[in-house]
Amino acid sequence: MENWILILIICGIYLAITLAMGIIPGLKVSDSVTGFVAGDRSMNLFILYFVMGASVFSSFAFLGGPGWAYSRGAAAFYIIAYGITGMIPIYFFGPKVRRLGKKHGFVTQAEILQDRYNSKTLSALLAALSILVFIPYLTLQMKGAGYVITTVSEGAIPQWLGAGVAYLVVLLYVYFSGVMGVGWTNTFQGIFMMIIAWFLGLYLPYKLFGGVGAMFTQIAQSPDVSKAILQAPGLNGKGAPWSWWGYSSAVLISAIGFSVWPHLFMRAFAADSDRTMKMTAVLYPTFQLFLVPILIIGFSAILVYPDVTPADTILPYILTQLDLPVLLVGLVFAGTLAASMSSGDAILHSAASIGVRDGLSLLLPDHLKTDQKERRYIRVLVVVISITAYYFAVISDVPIVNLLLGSYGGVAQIFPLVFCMFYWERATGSGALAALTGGVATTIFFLLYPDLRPVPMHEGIYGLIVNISLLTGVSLATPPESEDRIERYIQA
Amino acid sequence: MTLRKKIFLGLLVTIQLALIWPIYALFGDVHLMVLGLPLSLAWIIAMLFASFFLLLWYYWTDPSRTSSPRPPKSKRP
Repeated sequence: MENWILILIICGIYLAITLAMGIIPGLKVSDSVTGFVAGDRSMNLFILYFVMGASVFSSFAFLGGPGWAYSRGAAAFYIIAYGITGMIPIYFFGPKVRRLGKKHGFVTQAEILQDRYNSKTLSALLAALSILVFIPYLTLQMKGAGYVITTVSEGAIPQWLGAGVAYLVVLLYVYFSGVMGVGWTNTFQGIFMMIIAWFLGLYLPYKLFGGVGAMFTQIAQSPDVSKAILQAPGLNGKGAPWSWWGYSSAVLISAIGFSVWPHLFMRAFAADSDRTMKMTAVLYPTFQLFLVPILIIGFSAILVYPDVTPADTILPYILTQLDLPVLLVGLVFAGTLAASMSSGDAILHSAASIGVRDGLSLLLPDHLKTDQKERRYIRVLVVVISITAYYFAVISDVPIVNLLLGSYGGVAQIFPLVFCMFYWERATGSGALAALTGGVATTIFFLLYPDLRPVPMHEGIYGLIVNISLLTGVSLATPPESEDRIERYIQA
Repeated sequence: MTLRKKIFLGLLVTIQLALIWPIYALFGDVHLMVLGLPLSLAWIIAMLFASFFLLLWYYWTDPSRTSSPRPPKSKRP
């Protein structure tokens, strides 16, 4: 039997296990919307830890991470840097969000912000922003999965079929089990990814150089690579030294936006206790640490396999060049699929839940009067969003993934609203609306016209400056929200 | 604001600043190599551990940690 068929069988076994792990937990969750979206608020620390971790580590981590280290050197350290402090805000507002969600029945980020700021327009705006960001994100994960299966099969399985099969599995368990399907599969995928990453990150430098230290020493001494490759802040996309403005602002904006990504934020509603929520934030760096071996994979190829393009293909390239056991190669490819699917499922589930709870419920309130109907609409939207992302991933030529470039700056604009929800009683609905609109518009403006930036900072930082100014100014110029409403949040 | 919170916030801001210019620029060189890693990477990993232990300390010293009862075990997973 040919090697690629054996590797494909390993990936097939992985997909079958994932499907079973995704479907079974859904049988034990109630038929309510809370069951589908927030798992009956029963996620323990073990599950929530892996949901938060595995959702973050997408196919970007497994393919893009080594690609960055390979082509941009120390610039890739920014991927570790922003997660170091990025999850800490969850420690503080996570338990408050959980308690308020349980008391008032919230299951999405927009619902709680809508209530605090007394603005349905804000809810609709957040729903639109979330879906605008989620569809390209999901498209990218599908492309990653399709790419892995095509590479594994040496082109025998086209990308459209590979992406279709992997995401049919995701669609099935998200459709039937909701967030609990996401939870259990992410736990399995998270453990799997960690083992694969640590093994490869230590094994490759050992096989190619005799160890991690020897590898970095040889890279530092090599006359063939830029001296700046191991020196912060590394290289930019063109291979020239990256500016400190660019590096520092990318770390800051990503750290600020990290905790308010809607699919991560809304997991606070699924936690079973305050302790679970806090410990998830405390333990998160242990998940973040697994980016170190991921980046080492990329560094290990700099001297041995120069000039591989595109850089994102460096991991599959290494695997096909080395004489590794078929079982190991199969497991690594399955691990890459796990990375794609563990983010794709969380995004798909969140996009559908947000679309119905925060978008359709405002447009078609009569159609969503019962829990059963609402759950049915969420499931329909799961299918619609899957098909849309699939269309952009394998059929359309529209470069929708370019939208992702601006997504981190756009999502970070939610942070001031979340912060002021609990810590500034004078923040008003008008202020929040103006802040979000102004912040996102500024971010998009500087994304489209980067030459107009006064200094080469991330466009999201300019968005935040406008955002905070508007939130403060408009809030102080408008009457405060009612005392009851404020009290609920400040005392939460 | 309690002293515990002040210490936490002070150290958190310090860690955040240590990850960007200008502090990271001081520790962003290749040498000294630490445990085989370039200083630029070893510094980031050190900050990761610092952040982990800071939040762990804050959690352990949380006055509400020992006073709040654990929720009853649910039959559902």
